Amino acid sequence: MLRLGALFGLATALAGTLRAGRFDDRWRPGDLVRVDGVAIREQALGAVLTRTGAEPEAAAVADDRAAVLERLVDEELLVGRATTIGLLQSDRTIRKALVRAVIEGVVRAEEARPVGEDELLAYYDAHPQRFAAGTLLRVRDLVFVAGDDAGAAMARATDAAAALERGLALAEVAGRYADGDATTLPDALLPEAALRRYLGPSLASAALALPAGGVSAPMETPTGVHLLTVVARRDAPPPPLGSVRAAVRADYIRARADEALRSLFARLRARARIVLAAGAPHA
Amino acid sequence: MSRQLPLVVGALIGLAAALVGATRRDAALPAGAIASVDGRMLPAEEFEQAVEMLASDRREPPTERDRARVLDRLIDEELLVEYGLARGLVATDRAVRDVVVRAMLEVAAAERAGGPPSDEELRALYGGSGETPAFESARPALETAYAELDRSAAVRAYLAELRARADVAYAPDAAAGPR
Repeated sequence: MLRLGALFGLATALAGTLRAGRFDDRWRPGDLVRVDGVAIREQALGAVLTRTGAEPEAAAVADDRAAVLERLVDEELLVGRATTIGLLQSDRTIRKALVRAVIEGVVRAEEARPVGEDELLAYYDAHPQRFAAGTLLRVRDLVFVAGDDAGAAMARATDAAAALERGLALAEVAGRYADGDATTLPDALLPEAALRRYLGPSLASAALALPAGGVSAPMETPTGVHLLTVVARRDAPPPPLGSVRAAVRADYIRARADEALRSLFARLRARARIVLAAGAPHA
Repeated sequence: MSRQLPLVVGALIGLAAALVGATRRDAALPAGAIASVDGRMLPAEEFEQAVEMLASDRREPPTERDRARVLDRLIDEELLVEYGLARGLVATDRAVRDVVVRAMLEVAAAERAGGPPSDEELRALYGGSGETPAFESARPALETAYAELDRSAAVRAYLAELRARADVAYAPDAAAGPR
């Protein structure tokens, strides 16, 4: 029995030596701990110490490298376990965080990529109105009071839109279908800021997207259904690039990031094996 | 011919890529799946929930086109999740890692936590002295405190179990102070 115990002890000691030897062979400068083969490095410890050190109440923890290192080991154990049990794919919060991180990574990469003067100029030339100092609109806002029957108000607004589409005069449409005009909206060319003040952000955005003579879709608000008609529109001429360079650059980088994301989706879809169920919807 | 070869090879690669990437329909997907992406099933229930969420924002019922867009969004999400995992974001992205750790702490607490406290356990926590409020009026606060302690103990037990199973090796001077 004693011999058996000694053999067991020797085997355990050997196993421990082999394990230590295996890891010792793989220590790289800056490695602090290995958790199931995954190294926790000095850099990671430093990052946590810096972060926690910035908060006075965490200073005591930041001083204790050993305590922080143990926390990193715990963290690695939890991440490893999350991988094993499939939590990374199944947990909604983790999935959202992954999606957000991928998108932010693409955007950051585009922000870091230099923007050439030629690229900037070409982009500006292609979208001059986007940077125009301002647009003036004269808008007619027909209101269809919802009362107890929101559906009926929406139906009248839809009929009014169709009548305008057929070429019926705005005054006639207003008299026949609407309950009146938005009383506060001045009958004059208004800048964007004033439109937003009078109409609110949603209606103003819809109006700004319309050309002269354009009619919006009926839009429901707490005060009723609105139908906007742009009676007149005057777009200010685009300013010289020099005066809006920062805005053009920011817009160009955003457009580039959008394109990079579209391209990433296309690549991922091309590589993926996507199977739809027989009853899945199709566009 | 030799000049045309790269073109032919390119065309073949393009065709192969298109075939590999093509979306196909398959009646043999498991029941309850609306689609699969690289073998991973997208639950029909999740799809219907997403459609319902869309419907709740609108007056009109969602069209077939709307439903197709919702499904496309779920497929895109799956592609991004797999891409993020393949890029090692769980190891390198602090925000993702924090979310994973928080989710695992919830798992640990749920797996190891005990049931609701008995009166005896609450009384032991209460201690009771002349200056403390009456037991019954302190009960809600005691239950909260007990749940917190229970959760901490559950997480500690879970971590201890993970450590016991894991291969953790320290470098000789791992915690020996700043280098």
